[in-house]
Amino acid sequence: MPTINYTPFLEGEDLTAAGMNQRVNEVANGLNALDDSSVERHGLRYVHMPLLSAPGLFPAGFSKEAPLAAASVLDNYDNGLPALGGGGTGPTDYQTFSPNGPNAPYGPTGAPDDGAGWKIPAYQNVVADAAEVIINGGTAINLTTQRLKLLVRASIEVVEADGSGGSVNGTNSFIVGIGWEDGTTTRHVLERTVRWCSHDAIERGDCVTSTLITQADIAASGPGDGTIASVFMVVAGGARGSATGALDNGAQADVRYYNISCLPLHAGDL
Amino acid sequence: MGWKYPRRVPQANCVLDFRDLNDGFLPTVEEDGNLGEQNWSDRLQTQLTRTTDLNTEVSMRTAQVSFILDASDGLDSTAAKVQNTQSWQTIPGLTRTLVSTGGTLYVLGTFQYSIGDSLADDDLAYARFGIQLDGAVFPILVNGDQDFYSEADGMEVGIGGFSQGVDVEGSFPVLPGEHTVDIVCNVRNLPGAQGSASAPGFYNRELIVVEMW
Repeated sequence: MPTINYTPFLEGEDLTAAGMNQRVNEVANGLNALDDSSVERHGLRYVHMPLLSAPGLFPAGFSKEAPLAAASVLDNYDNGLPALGGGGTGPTDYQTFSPNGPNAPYGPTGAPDDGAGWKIPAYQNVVADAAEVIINGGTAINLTTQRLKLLVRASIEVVEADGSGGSVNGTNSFIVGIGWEDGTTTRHVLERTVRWCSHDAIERGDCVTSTLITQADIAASGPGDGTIASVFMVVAGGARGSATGALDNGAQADVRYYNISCLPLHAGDL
Repeated sequence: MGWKYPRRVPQANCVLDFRDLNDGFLPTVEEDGNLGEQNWSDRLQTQLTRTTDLNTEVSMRTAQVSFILDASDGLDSTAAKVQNTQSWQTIPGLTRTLVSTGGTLYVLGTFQYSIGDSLADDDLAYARFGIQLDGAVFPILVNGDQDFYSEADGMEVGIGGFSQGVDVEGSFPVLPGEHTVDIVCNVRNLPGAQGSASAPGFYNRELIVVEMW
């Protein structure tokens, strides 16, 4: 329904100040409360819309790739994931980050890091090259306020994947996922983005994962504060175990090129 | 909003007709619902108050399933499965029927795939994945080698191995109306090779459909 409700003058109706003011106010009030029904479809062009690349929102761009130069040196990720509640059996804990290494959780640990948790790829431990897209200069935003959804895509090149000591086993896997940092600087992982890529599927291949992040995702997970300051890729080694869910943390992988992109969308629901 | 000409111009010393008054207001009132780009300054700071944007809409289906093994067939019994067959099948959950106003649909299917097998690597069955729009699978978007007549190692059809993350994406111009998008899978068994006894299983998975104008 259109917003302006105008009461036409009728033939024979007395013309009064009240009647005139009523009609003027009806038009004025409607104009001051225009909504979607007032605008024809495609009535707003791109010049009228808020900028997706508003100054400051994605200061370093929408993507991060590394290493940029041809790389002959590989990074070895030998970190595994713990089980929920600790120990080596049971469902996997997808929210723990490894505290080990020069710039934890960024970059390889440099030593076996069994059951310690996720790492964020950072070539040769350079944090500036981490597989992470900073949002709003690191000051967390609320996606609903910004009317945004984030299409995030990540991939990493696996040059060689094997088990502890270099043993090769079809169940050894390299695991990837997508996470975000909230306004309290706490990191979370979107568990639906976790992908196990077994050795025999990806050696000299790549691991990919993607997702669309909405406000519901960053508000529902908790204990986040409902805001987002960055998105990043997470990696770990692992192996499929038995029905008890035992995790073989001996799996490791030599990796090289990686990239992550974060494309903001102004979008509702189909 | 189109050009508006005065319907009536009351003159001085003329009798004021009620139609003079209505016609003074109605051209403005009648444009309510037809406001378009001519009505906005390019300096307009848009403040959208509804969740549906005027230019882009997104559909999403997601599922979260723990990736825990079941020792009986190598797959978690809660995995969504398709049949071990060469027919295209929709991956459970990765389907969406929508009404489009016409334009371009960007489709991204992303999922965890796994097939349990106790045989040697080169005896594994291989799966292929694609996008199906209104019943038609697009060959150019199918993941996996098409040369299924080759028996040489490295030329196997599709994606093999115990488990892998897979993304399938494409863009399609569509006419206004109802459309159905599916992410589909089939299994190719090489001549002379034994296919897996297990059906392909799918765990974490997500379908993103963006309607763009």
